[in-house]
Amino acid sequence: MTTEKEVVVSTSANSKTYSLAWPAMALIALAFILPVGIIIARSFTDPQLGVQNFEWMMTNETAQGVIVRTVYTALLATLITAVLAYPYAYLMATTTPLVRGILMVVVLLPFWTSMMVRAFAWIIILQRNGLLNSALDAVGLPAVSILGTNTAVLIGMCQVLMPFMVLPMVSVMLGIDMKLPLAAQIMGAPKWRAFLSVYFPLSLPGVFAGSLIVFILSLGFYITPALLGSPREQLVPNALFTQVIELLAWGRGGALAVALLLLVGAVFLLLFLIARVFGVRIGKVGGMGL
Amino acid sequence: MTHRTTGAALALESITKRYGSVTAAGDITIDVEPGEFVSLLGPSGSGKTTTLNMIAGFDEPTSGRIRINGSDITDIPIHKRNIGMVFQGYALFPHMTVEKNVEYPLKQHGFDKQAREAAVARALETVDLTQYRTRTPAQLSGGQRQRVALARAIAYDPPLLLMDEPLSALDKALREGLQSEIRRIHRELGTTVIYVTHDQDEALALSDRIVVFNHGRIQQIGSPAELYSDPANDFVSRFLGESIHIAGQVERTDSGSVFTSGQTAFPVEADYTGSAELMIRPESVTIVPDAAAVGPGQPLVPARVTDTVFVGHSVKHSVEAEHGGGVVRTSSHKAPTIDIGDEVFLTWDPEDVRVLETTAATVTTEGEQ
Amino acid sequence: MSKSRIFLWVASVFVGLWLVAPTLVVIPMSFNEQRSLAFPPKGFSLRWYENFFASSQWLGGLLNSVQIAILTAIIATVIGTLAAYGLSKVSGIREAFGRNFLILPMLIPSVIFGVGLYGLFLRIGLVGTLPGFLLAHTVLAVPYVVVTVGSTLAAYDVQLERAAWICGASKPRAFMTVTVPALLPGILSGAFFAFITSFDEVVVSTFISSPYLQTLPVRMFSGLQREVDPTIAAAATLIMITTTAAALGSILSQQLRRNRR
Repeated sequence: MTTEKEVVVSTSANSKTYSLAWPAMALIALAFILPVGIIIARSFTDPQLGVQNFEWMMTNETAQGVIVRTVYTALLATLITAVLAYPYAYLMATTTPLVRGILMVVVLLPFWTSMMVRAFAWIIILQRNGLLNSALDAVGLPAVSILGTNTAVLIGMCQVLMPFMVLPMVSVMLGIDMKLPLAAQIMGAPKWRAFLSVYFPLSLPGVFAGSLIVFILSLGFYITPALLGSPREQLVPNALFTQVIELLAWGRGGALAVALLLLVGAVFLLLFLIARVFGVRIGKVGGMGL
Repeated sequence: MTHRTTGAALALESITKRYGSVTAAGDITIDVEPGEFVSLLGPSGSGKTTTLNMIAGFDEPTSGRIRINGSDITDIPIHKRNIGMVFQGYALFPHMTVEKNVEYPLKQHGFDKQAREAAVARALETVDLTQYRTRTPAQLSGGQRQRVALARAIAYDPPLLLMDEPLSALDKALREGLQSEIRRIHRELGTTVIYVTHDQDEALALSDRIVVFNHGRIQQIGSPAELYSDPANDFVSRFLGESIHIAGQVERTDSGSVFTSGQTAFPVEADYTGSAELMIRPESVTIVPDAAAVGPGQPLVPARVTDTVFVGHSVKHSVEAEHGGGVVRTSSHKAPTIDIGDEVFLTWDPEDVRVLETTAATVTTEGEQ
Repeated sequence: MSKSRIFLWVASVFVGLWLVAPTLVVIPMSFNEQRSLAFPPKGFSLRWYENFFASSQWLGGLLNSVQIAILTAIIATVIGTLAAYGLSKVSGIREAFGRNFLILPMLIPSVIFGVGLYGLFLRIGLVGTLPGFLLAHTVLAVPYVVVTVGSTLAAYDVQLERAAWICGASKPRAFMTVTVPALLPGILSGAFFAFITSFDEVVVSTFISSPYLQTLPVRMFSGLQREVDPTIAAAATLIMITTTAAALGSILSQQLRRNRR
């Protein structure tokens, strides 16, 4: 029966129903692919035809600094998120359904909270006379100046990125047979080694999937660096904004966009290959207006 | 008895469904009389569901025509075919109450409110679910859902009712109860029923005629008794009921056809020669402890008992002969004691034997039932 | 509890607080008596809310945001649901291509989309217009609807639709009376998602807004870059209330689906 049902799918009537997807496809093609295509095209045509914008990007020190900083920040954000998310995900995977439900809600709440509101909240906390310094002052520690640094950007980014790391980790961890580390213990491995040699390797596909998603998303952050970071330490999205809106350098902005797209595309390819190899379900990945 | 509706005559004229190079159903020709109950029986993937889907209109036949009461419906859209259907897994609308589910087809067919209410009440009464009419499907048991599905299918008295493995999700006791209910409803309504199942007992119990499918082809069409006593081929004989099969050769001699299998030979009735298979139903076989008990010229096949199971009214013995084997039943109260491992002889009345031509298409049905 | 388990809990509570707690500081700040974002806030007043509702820029931003988000939710839900349904009827390459094509806006950094759309809108005169915002936000919201409705469709029994056809309903009619109601939890959830996506959107909106048409988050964003104004805290609190309500709506729609089982 199953075989009969599987082949039933592509009849002419079903193809007619497929046309219901056309409005959405047309919208994405005209209002998404077209504008993105225009900005890519302008990197080769603005101000005149040629690769001068890419030459600028490859030789200008500021542009180089922006790209290197963006990749570096994304790597750091990925590492921090992975380290913090792992114990959280592990607890989620190994606890009772009730606690798991609560931890899930806590992880999902940021999904629903506006980027703007969260960036604003970090300003209140991290500014010179903010919550953090009031607290430090209360216990007699000297004030710190975090707002306007890359540290503040990382703190804000990682909060946003955490769910994207936790969810793939949990989905892989829930699939790990908890009898396996027990079996390792029966065979004589101490608890920590049973964990490191059995559980951890099995959970790695989730770590990889989460890391790649988080890395991709961190490349595209605009609001958080604009509000929490320093204009002197720009990331690619902010530099892109500056080039196009403030300097009207569409071509240079386009070149930065191409660089960003290539980075994202390369990581996606990696993600796709890993998903193929490990059969990991990556689940929902969202841009969320980062 | 007066029927609520006049059953439709259904004719499938050589319909075929191909997916690329795969023939899901090939050259299917069936003539169904008005009011007849016909089962499409076969293992998974045998083409019975594809055939049903073509009658319903879910699949378009690659070739061939389908007629209801003589008029061609092959190109008529599904919703204008005037068919009732009970789905595997019920397909009850989850967002509607029992009542609304049953009313749905009446609404689509343009009945006015009064007529709808009367028809819903009657259909729910027929399946004895009147007190559940305001429940949603989620609040019903499997058997109750099944009966709602039945009520919805019969609500507007369709002349043709299709049933796609309607009982396969239910346990055995419930299934038998609903079988008799389906029989009763069929009698009361007089509608034509096409019933898809992979369960041979269900098909035998319910049907006026059974169409046996395998590998996308019709193997045989006939009444339950015909299929049981006179199967057209090896597949049908194995798929329907238990039997003993013995492989051998049919040769023509001066005194008639002779069946040879290993060292034994005995006369049979057959009108061809070559390799063949003997099929005997278990109730026709007698187990004898030694060869002397049988007269000369009578069929006699040495066999070994490999298993013996007590099933209440009878004892079921699995036997293995040199070129075949199968199942023999003996009556439980007057049977000779037979133990596993015993060497015995099988004999039967030559009239109860069927000789089946061995064909390449012959396939066993292991694991399909 | 073992030592490692205690460590696990401590780490998880830290992460949990980090995820949830910071956002909450916004609320007390909005009731601040003083014109300062210093923490802790001093006194209690509603002056920043009064300020918010008295200012045509702030209130206008809120009304624009609500209007755009509602319209976006409606358009995105309709075309996203149709698309998800259409995609569910094919398989293989066509299905995979269609699905991945439709979720592209989720995957590509929105700043690139924003810049490109700004370039396009400059030429066709859509900067700072309602149709421009609707177009941009619908592009960003459709993927969420396709994903949400798609996951509901994956669990949808296609037999239901066939049952409706056999019962005499034409295809459009079966779609409206059986498929849509059966998918309603997913559709509603997708609609709320689309609403939030639009209501919270800043990046693309920053590019395509004009002084004449701004959304609330864009107003907040430009406000934050210029001045210290606790009115922003009042605006942030209002945004939180709205999105929380929409999120609850979405969760309740999902609940609806579970109850039907």
